[in-house]
Amino acid sequence: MDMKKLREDFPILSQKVNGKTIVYMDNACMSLKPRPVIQKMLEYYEQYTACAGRSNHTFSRVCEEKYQEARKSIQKLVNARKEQEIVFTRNTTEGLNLIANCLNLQKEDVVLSSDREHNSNLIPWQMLKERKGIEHRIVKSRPDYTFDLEAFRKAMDKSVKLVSMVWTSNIDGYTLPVREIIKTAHDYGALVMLDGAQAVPHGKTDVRKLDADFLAFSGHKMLGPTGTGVLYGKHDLLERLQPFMVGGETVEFTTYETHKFLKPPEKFEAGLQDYAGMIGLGEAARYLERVGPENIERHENMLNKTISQKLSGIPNLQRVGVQDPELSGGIISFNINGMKYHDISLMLDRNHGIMIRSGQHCAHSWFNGHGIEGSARASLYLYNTQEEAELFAEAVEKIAKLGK
Amino acid sequence: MVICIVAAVVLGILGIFSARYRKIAKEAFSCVKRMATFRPCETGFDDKVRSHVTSRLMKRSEKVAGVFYRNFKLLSVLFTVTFFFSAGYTGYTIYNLVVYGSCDPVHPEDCVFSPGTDPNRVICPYQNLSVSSSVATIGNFRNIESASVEGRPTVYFFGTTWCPHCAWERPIFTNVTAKFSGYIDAKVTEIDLEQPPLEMEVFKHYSTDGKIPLIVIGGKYFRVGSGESLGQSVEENVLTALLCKASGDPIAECSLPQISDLESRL
Repeated sequence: MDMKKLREDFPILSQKVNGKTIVYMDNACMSLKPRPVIQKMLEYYEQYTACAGRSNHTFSRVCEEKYQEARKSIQKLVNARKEQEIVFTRNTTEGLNLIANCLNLQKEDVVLSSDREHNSNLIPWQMLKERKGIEHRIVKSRPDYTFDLEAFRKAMDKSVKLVSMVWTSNIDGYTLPVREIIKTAHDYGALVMLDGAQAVPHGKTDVRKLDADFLAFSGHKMLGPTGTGVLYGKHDLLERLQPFMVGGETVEFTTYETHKFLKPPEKFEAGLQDYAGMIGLGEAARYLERVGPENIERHENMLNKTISQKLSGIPNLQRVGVQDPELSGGIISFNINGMKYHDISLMLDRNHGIMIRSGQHCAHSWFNGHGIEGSARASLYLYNTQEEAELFAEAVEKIAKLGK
Repeated sequence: MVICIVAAVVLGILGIFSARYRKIAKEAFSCVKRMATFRPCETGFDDKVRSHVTSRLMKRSEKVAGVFYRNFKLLSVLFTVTFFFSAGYTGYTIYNLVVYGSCDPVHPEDCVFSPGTDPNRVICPYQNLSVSSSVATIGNFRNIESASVEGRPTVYFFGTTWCPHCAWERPIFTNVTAKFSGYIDAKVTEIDLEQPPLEMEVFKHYSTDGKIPLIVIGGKYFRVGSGESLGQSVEENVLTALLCKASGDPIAECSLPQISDLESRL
């Protein structure tokens, strides 16, 4: 990857904050946007602002064309069989909620999750437990925080209707062995939904190889605009599902008494869509394809190794979650003894211009379950450089002295 | 935890003038409210203060920043206590400045707001008097100078009840003048209690800027300020010598060598 050229695509990176060149390492929360993505969104507003597919004028036709082009780009990125398998949503959360509400789970049906789920893949099931009496089963990790396949197999039975799991954890960057999980689940006749918010942006996604039934991910974490997301679903499943949010753009026709839904994905995309956002997201997918998801994965891992090696020399620093940089993708989650995680992030920002996240990262259940208050979390992406990695490690080393 | 008390006060005041501080003042207030009901602060206000200050200190000295960070709780308690102590003291001095015209009426020379003072004299300023107009009207100064009752020179002491230097001087003046009873006419005036017109004319004439204590002897000698710097025995001798001179050596003490020596210098 030509880092210099790549970084030039991100106008925000040339910005200085408090007189310092910014080092952005909060990518697990929000990614920065390259110029082509911004450009595409601007084009919609400047050149063909219209409703896609409803009206019969030039703007509308151009808009529809670009909108479907975006869908195709996403289809290509995740290697879906059909573009109809790509449902546009607002974010991963909406995708997960959509399935939770459309699957028609009944009393005593079991939904199985890992113990490191984001709140978005936890609360929907807790709500269904309260409303419909489903059972939400959690598979505990091994003591080294890796996924316990044995425990998972033991937890599986015929009553499990859905395995809804995070693919890559936003807590520590650990990627679950999803292929084995999916295979086992299918053996028991259960469907599998993956929360791919942290996975799709950072590596190769092939839903055909994975054989996942549903995959939800967000646009804003993969160089796309905020408020954009995708739910991939196998076509036959999507066809069978009843939408839960309905209205304009979801039906072929209605009478005073009846309605006929459109085919997927339209029947799940109720109301006027974020055309500019989705067109921007399509461009983001193409951008990632151009760089190469495998390259991004390799790049992040290399930076993680640099950082991990340097951080391992800090006596009062503790990694949170999996310890091996090989297993933690582009995420470095840590605590410093004698220091609050918020202080770490604030000082990195103020004194070094390094932006990271601190807190429970919307995975309170995991932190509460492990008796950890929270953590400081640096998350990398394609535009982070080796120099930035070193700068970050040195800054943490400096700050760690405060906690002695 | 405690730092939010100070912040609530300071930021509350700043917030009156600038909207910039209102949000953070609100945070500090909510913190105080929770603290008052023995609940932990929700807004993380203390943490914010700690990390903001530490990050600033880090730029100057990592060591100092480290000490500050690790001892933040203790330091914030100390800071809060100091803050309220000094706030109370400030209130007290403002009161003094308004009422007595000096932030420290006992040691006015220590008060930056006090009018300039003679370093050799310890003076309680008494500035409630308007001074300027009376100087010109005191054309009959000579009358006052020779003011006497049946040929006895008049000796004045002017002070206030609250002025510690007057309190020091007053018994010495009373004791010494008592020895000359019958030969002089001594008057002690507490100008914060009584303001007899004739005596006030004398006071205003000699203590033009209204400072006390003031001693006037037979219209011949006067001094604004106490004799504390001389010490009690020297002050007694000085006063005796002055009175001897003014009244024509009427008592035996006037011929004591230390007195006549002083007298000869007048």
